[in-house]
Amino acid sequence: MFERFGKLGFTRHTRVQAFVEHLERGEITASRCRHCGRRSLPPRADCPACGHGAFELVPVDPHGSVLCATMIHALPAGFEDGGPFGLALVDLREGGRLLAPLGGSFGGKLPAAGEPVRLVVRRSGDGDAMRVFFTAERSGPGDGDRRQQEIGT
Amino acid sequence: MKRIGVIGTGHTRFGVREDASIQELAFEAWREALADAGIEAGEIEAAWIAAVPGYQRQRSLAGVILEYLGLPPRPGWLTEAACASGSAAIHTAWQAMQAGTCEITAVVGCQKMTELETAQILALMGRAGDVQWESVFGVTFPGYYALFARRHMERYGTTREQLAAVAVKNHHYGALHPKAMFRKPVTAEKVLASAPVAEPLHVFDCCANADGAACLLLATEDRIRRLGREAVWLDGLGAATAPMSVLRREELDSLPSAAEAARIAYAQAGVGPADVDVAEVHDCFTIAEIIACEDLGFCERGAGGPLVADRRTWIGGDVAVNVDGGLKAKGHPVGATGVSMACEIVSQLRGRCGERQVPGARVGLTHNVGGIGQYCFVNLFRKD
Repeated sequence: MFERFGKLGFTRHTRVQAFVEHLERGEITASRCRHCGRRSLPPRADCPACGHGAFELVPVDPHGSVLCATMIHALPAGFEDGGPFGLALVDLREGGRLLAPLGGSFGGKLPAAGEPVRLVVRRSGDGDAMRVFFTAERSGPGDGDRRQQEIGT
Repeated sequence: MKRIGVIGTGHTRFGVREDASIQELAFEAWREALADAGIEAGEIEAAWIAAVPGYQRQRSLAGVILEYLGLPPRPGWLTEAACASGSAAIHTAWQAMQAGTCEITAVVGCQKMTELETAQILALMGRAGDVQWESVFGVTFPGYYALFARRHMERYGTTREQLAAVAVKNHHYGALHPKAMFRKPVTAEKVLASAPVAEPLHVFDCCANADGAACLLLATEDRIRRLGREAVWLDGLGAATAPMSVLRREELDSLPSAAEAARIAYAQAGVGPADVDVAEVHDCFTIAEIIACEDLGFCERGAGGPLVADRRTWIGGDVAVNVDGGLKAKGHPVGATGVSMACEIVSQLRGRCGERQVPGARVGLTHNVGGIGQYCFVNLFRKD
């Protein structure tokens, strides 16, 4: 079921597949080691600090800032539809980093380093074709710490 | 530790090679290396093939190449570390010779990439990142280096003009190299005006997918003396890894694997960055050469842009970098690249590079990166 994550999935089975179920409910989650408390985002089942395999997924504040961003013009197989697209590395406020497509709020422009963003959970398609992911959107000073995200398409 | 040297090199023309299969390319380099060393094929005791099997339809790729070279029943197998496969194979051969299992070995790097379409290669190479968290959004291989470039530009003020200066230099020298893929100089204007690939990288910031092969023959010092041959010595080998994922690297303005591999290689050879006369660095993209010069200590962190723009990495500058055209102009058949770099450095130290010869070169370095820095190998070569 993990292959539902992103625009095109390459990973079917993983011990952190509940990440996708949380995402379907509008929540981005990190893993937390049940032994030493170490947080990882992206989540991982086996703790990189103490090696324990017991973990839980915990919601994260979807706000963060851009480390750097690019616009992909030469499109890879499977992503040819829709023309050039933006991608950003987003450092989350509570730690961890995710790669995210740039959403419509950027209007096709690249954000600068340090620009505040929030990750908005998105869903597209139905049934077997259903995909769940997130986009990086401009974040204004009025954005609170909303862990429960709207689901847009 | 035994001293190990290079006794022969062989190198095909790089480029679109519709005239040959991968094993035929490998043989072309192998035959030239044997002739260069003046030894018979039967004297090679073991061989390592460097290639990335994902580009080829042939399964068990090393098997078919070793057979074509005539190696059976002697041992050989594939060594893979993405674009650093060639240096990984050299490292493996060196380890086997240190262990005393063989005294004369061959390393053959080869790749045939042009039978795939560009979009397929973009998809394939993009999955050199983390497919679980990154490839799902269509990030490509140039896309990763574009992220590095943006970071470097925003942090240090590196400019697109400085990136273009790498392409101008490498195409200048590629035009002097008879085996390079692109043998035409380019202007900075042409680089800057080329089509965008992944901002800020444009077509002329990127190396080309290519076909080609290179072969290196190595021997122990004892054996070299008994053969009565001259050698270029492989005196420092650094190998290191870094996190696969850009999501798990602290910074993106350096390849931590490269800095670590360089530290190990310099210490083993007993030299420093200022001693290096000529270097082959992994310029898969123009930004990669700038970051490489910093990771290798040719300049301070963040000063790589001015270093190349001020022509301090041209012949006659502080250190000659990629004066065979680099991956940029010579071409980048991924499995062959690390071996090709070693061949060029050996030729430089033997004084055989003609118009692109670095006068009086005694110490040479190769810097070969696999993936987006997951693997890095830095090797130091010396002529006594």
